[in-house]
Amino acid sequence: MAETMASQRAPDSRQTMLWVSAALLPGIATMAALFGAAVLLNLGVCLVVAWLTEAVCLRLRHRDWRAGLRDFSAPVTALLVGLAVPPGAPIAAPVLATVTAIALGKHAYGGLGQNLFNPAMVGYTVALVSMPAAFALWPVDAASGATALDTLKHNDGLTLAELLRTPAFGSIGGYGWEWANLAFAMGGAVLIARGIIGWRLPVTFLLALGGLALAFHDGGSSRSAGSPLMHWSMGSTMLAAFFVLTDPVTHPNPRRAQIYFALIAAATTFTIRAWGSYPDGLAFGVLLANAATPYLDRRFA
Amino acid sequence: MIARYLRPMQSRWCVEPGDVVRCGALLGSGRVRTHAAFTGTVASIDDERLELDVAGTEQIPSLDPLDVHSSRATVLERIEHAGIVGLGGGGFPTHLKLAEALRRGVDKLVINAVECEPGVHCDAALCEQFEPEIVQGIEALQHLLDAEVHITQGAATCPSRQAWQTHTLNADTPAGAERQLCRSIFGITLAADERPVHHGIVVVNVGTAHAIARALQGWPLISRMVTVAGENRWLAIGTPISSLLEGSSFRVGGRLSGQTVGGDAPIGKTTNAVEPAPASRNAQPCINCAACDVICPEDLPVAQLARLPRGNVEAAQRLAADRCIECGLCTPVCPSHIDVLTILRQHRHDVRHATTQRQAAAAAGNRFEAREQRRAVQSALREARRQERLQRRQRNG
Amino acid sequence: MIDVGTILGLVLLVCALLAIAQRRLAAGDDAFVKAIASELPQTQCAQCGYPGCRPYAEALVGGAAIDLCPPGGEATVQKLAELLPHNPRASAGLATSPAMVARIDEARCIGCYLCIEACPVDAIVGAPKYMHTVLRDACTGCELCLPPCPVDCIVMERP
Repeated sequence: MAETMASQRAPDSRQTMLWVSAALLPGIATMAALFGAAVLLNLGVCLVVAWLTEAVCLRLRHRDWRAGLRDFSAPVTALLVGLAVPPGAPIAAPVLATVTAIALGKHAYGGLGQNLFNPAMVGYTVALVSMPAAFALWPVDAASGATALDTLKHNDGLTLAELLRTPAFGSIGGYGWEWANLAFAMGGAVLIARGIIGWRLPVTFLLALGGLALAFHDGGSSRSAGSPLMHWSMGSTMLAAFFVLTDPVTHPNPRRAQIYFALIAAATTFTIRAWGSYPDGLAFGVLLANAATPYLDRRFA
Repeated sequence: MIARYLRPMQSRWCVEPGDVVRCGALLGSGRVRTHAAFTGTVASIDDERLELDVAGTEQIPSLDPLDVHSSRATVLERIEHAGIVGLGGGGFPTHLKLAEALRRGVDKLVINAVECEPGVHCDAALCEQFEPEIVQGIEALQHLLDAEVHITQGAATCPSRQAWQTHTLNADTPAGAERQLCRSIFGITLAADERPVHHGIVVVNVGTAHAIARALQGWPLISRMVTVAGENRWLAIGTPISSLLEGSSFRVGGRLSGQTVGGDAPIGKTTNAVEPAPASRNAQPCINCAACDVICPEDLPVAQLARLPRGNVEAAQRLAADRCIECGLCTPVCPSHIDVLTILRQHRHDVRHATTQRQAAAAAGNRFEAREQRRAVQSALREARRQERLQRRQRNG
Repeated sequence: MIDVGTILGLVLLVCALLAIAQRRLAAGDDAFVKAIASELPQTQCAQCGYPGCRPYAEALVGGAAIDLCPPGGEATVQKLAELLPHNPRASAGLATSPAMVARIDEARCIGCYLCIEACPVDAIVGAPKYMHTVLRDACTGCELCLPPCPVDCIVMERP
């Protein structure tokens, strides 16, 4: 009945942000278990820097900074940045990434809801190209080593089955990353079940990524670009699919536009993963898709 | 008490300040007539509104009773003279609507008693209290249009007859809007620029049917049923809302599509409900969550429209803002507490205004060209006649 | 030297093409005038100094100032500036008045037919010695009927 419907007001933006943060927790816990407390340290640094940057930017823009901090969008950005920066990287990395994310990625465009690109990915990308060395290495089992993605990219002698037996890999994908990806996917499933994000975007993205991997699978030979399962469980695939691409501000709304959006992100990610010179292409994929959002919105409205 | 009347579009006041008027006297004429619902003195007049200093509240019919079976022209004229407009909320002059229906020919008359918005149940009270009048009004409309009668009702029960088809609808907003009714009853989906009359359908609110019956009895439209904070009351049009409710601002209309008005606003012809104004909530920035897109019954790109700055009429037109039915579902679902409906209303108004202006300008341009041609032909003819006269004179002389 | 010759040759060729193109496009003036006229409000009020909207559009193609149209206001100036970037503006701003329509006080009308002659858009109906009336929907509010009326029975009012 209309009566009940009107009384059931939608959750406000703040609650949504809190739910998103909560859904990140299983992934955060898994990452912390794998890579140690440095993950939590990174997140802590990012959270503090994000709140400070947010407050300063709001002051500079002559906004009520107390009210602005209450919308909880800065912590979500901080969590995403903190998860993308390798633990053990010099502290300048998370700080630079977070400040860029909030100041350039969000407030330079006019604040929450006005930005063209996902702030966390803007911050991450700027830090990545500024200090590539800090982002190249993820600690695995206390010993710093190349990630599965790196190993796969530079592999030219081993078949996929042989690769899976090297230390960088676990049973299906990147060592440890497979569990983190599973945890993020579970968090994403909760968000979909609560109606906070739509299923269309992440599912299209993952299917497209899997489809591309299948197309270039090459029977699992040494020239293979990896299997779908590997791509789903390496790097931050699930984090990007459920928490970054689904940022409502930067994705288009019409259904068909969302399909194209996810396809752009998946194609870019896969291209960079398979043939590019960066370890992972997710951030670039997201940013490129973001850039297409205004056009897609217009085209399919 | 000061009663107030707003000047309808394309109408003008026909009394002067200081005039003493009786209940039922004509205050304004033109496209829609306005009648005094009270006896009193005209206190002030300006372009927008008229204030009446009320001396007596007793109401009397000011027109002669009319037989239901009078000629179509007589009945239409009576509807016009009684100042009847669509009481469901549209406010379109009923005589114009019915005249168009007669001109185009309609075979289905829908009497709409679906109240689908929380906070409005004046039609339910009307159906309960005034059954004979409503039946008489429907019969008059049936006689006028010679169409098959469909009654649509939601929670309330509308008076019915054997020959009439009754449809009971699930009254979820916006079930009672005429575009939605055409779909749910007849399975007809109206195109963006179509109205029900293009498919031989005319939708009349049950309150309008009641007003027509009263007009035939001699009453101009000077009272209506209004849901005042949940309680249905029969009120004189022009009654200040401040005499009914405490407060300095009120919400006029239902809880979804209602609008907040100031403390001196009166009960108008289309006022179906009044309530104290809800506390305004601080809007946060739009995060493009698309909750409004999902709920919009007309599938409009609401989020894009809500983010569009006012004044960009071309973009608003491209996004089909003029197709908004103002059901108001988009506002309560907004997580950022943005008053989406008000923004959409502005865009819709701007687009419609621009469209009418463009059409009017094109028509004026065509008339100008036609006149120029006509004048050119006339002057050529004059010149030819002059030449002829000259030649004749030369020949004679 | 061959390079210079080639470039000179190309320049000449392009110039010739441009000259031909200009000749050809000049034939499209009519369509251009129509496009400009469609941006004008079609009030036919002659306040711009030209006898109607189409004549003003023709003058605009000839280089007339783009801000001579009060009914169109600043919005029209903007549109014209897009279409005719090289035309001058006569003044810094343009005051706009709200849209009005004419109404004949029928009791005082003497049926002189002068306003009907004056109306550029045939919005007044009537016959000599009979009462006249304004078709409100057709009136553009140009006020051209006001001066000819010998009994001042026409008033402008909000629609």
